Amino acid sequence: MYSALQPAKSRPEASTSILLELALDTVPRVLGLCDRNAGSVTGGCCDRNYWHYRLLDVANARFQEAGYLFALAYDTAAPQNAFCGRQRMADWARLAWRFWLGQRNRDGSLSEVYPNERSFCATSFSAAAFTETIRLLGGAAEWGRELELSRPTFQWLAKNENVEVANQMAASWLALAGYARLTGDEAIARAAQKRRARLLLSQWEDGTLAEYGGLDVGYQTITMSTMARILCLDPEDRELQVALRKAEAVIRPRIGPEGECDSRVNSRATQYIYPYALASLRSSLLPSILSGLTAGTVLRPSWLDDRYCHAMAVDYFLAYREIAACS
Amino acid sequence: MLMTTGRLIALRLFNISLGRSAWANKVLRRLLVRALIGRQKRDARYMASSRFFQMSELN
Repeated sequence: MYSALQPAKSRPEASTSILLELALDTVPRVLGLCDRNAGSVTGGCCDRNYWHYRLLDVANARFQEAGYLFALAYDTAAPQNAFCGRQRMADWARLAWRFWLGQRNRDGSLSEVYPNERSFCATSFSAAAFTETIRLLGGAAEWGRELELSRPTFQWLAKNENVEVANQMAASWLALAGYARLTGDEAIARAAQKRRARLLLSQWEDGTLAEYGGLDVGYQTITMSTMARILCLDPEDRELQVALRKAEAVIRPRIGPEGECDSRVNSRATQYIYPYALASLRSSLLPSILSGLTAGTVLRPSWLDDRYCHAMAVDYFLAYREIAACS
Repeated sequence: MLMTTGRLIALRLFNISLGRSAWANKVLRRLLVRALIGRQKRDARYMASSRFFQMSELN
């Protein structure tokens, strides 16, 4: 029974460990979505509607971001994490990325819904998760072959963009910056710098990172989370730090004391909030989110559908790790 | 047998034409069961059994 049903006075104090518990809760579900049989033709595919139910003629590339979730579960040390250090998790992460490499279009782009779609969103987010996984699981020394094979994807990202949607622009920036950092590829590093300039220039004076012409608190936190991950690659980027602070300031009045947010006024009507950037900024909004999670007023990763639960769980892992590292 | 674009188009064309008839649907279903399950070796059969993750797989 959710604690929202309890009177406020009797609720336990919000604890950051709830972030880890909720992230861990989704891991068995996402593992179940994935074809974990390395010998199978679809080994590593995490779109169950494609490989298992056979309802679709194309596997959604965004499901492959599960590889990053497996890597985080493998790498996050905590007494309650039964996945930590289990080699199978690292193997399944690699298997997911091998399938991703094989499912790309000839030009390196990826599809979400129909063949030859060349989805900027799917390519950006999955490529970013790919580089983040490699950073976590051994770096270029362990993943040299995969990095070499993946180069066309990053070249495609360097040539394509979607300026109307800040969260996708940020994801492509993280992907390009991550790849450049891992490989030392100068052309991709220049593309990452250009993408950085495009995104930071597009931020409104009040801090909004626009989604189809307006502020959407849910997507704003996704964009902020991605930018906070880029800041880990370059902690000295002052302009990025300022942009993140401004982005946080604009959503502050839109989030209530128990993390509640009116989705009707969001430009894309999102209902959720990603906590990682708030954790990395030590934002005063984070206790509200934690309180909302305990109270049942904030959406949890496991409440999202198969397509989005893993991405949100990744953010919960990152938020937990950020706080645990500083405590 | 995985779904491909060609198979999906063929199936949808059937669905909106002959598939309007319950009798034709039954015939197609019977043919598919025979082809995908009946004639296949046991380990190559398509069976819509949902196998999920169990913690014992980590060992």
